[in-house]
Amino acid sequence: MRPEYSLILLTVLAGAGQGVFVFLATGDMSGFSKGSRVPPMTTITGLGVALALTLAGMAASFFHLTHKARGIKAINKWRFSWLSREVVLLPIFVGGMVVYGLLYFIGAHPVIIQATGLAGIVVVLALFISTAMIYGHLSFIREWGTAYTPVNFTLTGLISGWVFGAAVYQMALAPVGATLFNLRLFFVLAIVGLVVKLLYYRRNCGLYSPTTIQTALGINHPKIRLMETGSAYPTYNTEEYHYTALKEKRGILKGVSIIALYLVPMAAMAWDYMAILSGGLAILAPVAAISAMAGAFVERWVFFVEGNHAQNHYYGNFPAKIRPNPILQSGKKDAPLPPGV
Amino acid sequence: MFCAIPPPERSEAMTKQLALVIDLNTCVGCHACGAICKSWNTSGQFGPLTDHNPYGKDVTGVWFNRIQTYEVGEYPDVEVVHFPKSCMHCVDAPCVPVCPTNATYKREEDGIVLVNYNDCIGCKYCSWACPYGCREFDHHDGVMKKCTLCVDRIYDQTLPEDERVPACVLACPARARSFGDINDPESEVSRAIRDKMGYKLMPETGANPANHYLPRRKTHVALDLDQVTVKKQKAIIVTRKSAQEGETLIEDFGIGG
Ligand code: SF4
Ligand code: SF4
Ligand code: SF4
Repeated sequence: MRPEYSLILLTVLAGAGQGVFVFLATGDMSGFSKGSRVPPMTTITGLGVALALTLAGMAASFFHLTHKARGIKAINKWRFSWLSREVVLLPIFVGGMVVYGLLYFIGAHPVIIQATGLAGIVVVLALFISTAMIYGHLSFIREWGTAYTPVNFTLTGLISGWVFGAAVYQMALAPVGATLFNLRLFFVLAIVGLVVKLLYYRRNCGLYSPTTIQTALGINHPKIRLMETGSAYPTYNTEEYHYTALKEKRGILKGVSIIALYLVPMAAMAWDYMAILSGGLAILAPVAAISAMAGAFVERWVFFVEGNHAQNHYYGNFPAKIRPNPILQSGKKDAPLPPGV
Repeated sequence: MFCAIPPPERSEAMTKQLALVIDLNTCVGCHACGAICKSWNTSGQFGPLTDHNPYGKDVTGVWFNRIQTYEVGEYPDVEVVHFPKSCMHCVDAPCVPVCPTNATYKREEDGIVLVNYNDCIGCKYCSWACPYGCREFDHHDGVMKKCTLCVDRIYDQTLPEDERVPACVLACPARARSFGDINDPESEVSRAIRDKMGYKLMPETGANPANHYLPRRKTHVALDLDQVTVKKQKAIIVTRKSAQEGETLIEDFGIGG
């Protein structure tokens, strides 16, 4: 699919914003349980970062729409459309962050704050899933239509937000207890995220598609070749659903994103973790944040361009490497395939 | 949405589902349906279908009906299949639930899937959700467009009754396109689907398209030479092999005599 840069910005930036929020909420919870709470100003600063990231993502997504004034209508179908759900949940999340920050500001009872934080985490998870399922439920785009998509969107958002949160904690010299707890959580997230990503990439290498040129045309013949697209110039069908830029380099880009999104932040955070324990200088979180952001952008770009829409069969643009399922194929003689030539 | 067994036919016999039935056996690939579709709709009630750079290089524009051509088989056992494709007005249209604004909707009374251009925000989600690639974004108007099944023709009381059909159906010189209610078992389209083995595209996506295609048909005569009782007749057989080599090897022999 053609990468829609506004959507890449939205999913990466708002995802990181959501991750920062979860970082701050869990950080304060762990500090609270250990009796050494994070100073309110630190959390409020962090919320400012989360808000800035989320609003920047929302602003970018706004450019995706051609009729911005009608944007409010996008909440109409929240019962059916994941996109609509995302549009509903985004302002709830932003509003929730503002409320959460205000509670700190007025010095509300810690229990109220923690309860709000917990509710916020639920909203964040719902928002991650809504954003990802916009793509994840398009089952005939085989690269997208998988449970890996929501898991990956959630983990990528949490990881990239986590390093931003860690940078804020570092600069504000947050208490060691909360910082260490969150750093340990980071390694869990990063390792699970990396494993999920590798499994996801591996899955996409040997992908099966039940849709073939035969089912697309309803002609049961092994040799079908496109002769004419019916148009001398590119059309919406050939431009929107098919993207060939950097086709040979996508493997390298995947490697770059894995290094920048997982390995570099893990190394930086490991350094910081050891530094905190040994009383040294923990200063690498901002490096991790920049690296993770870059990695997340590359990752999302690859995600978009790797999607192969079923309609590409009609234009000879469906990659041959996505084979029909051999198990289904072996039963071909008995299966009620459409009659053809 | 993907399932190995296609979902069972809905028992919607009572509700109307208008659709096109396209006969691949007679379609000659002349693009008349595409051209008339563009012509009718660009001058129709819903505003023009924008073209970009119409007289320059890289011309592109909105078309509701595109025709591709495929080669099936290998020379010499080859057939050329012309394949017109417009919105299928799917019974379980995947483009409808995804639209966040309700701009895309399926009419209850006749099953036509339409876009309300006044509500569309141009998010393009529906075009990703359509497995058939039958939606076209109008970059000038900033809204998604698609075949309307000529909803502005088929109910137009000012037209003579026999012209109240989609423009592409009227235009097709090969009469490869027919139009009607596929849920009415006695309609012309239902009969064609029944009698000529009409089928749906990509049944595995579960979209349950309303438009049907009729396959290529070949007439095979099973003739057992022993049963032929005609006497003193000559049969001339040009073998395929010889025709391929450019020779005219003609075998003639008598049957039964
Ligand atoms: S063919 Fe595509 S646009 Fe038309 S109803 Fe089906 S899913 Fe929607
Ligand atoms: S592009 Fe328009 S019609 Fe399509 S899903 Fe978005 S709002 Fe609905
Ligand atoms: S039914 Fe009308 S809008 Fe649809 S393809 Fe035919 S001419 Fe075009």
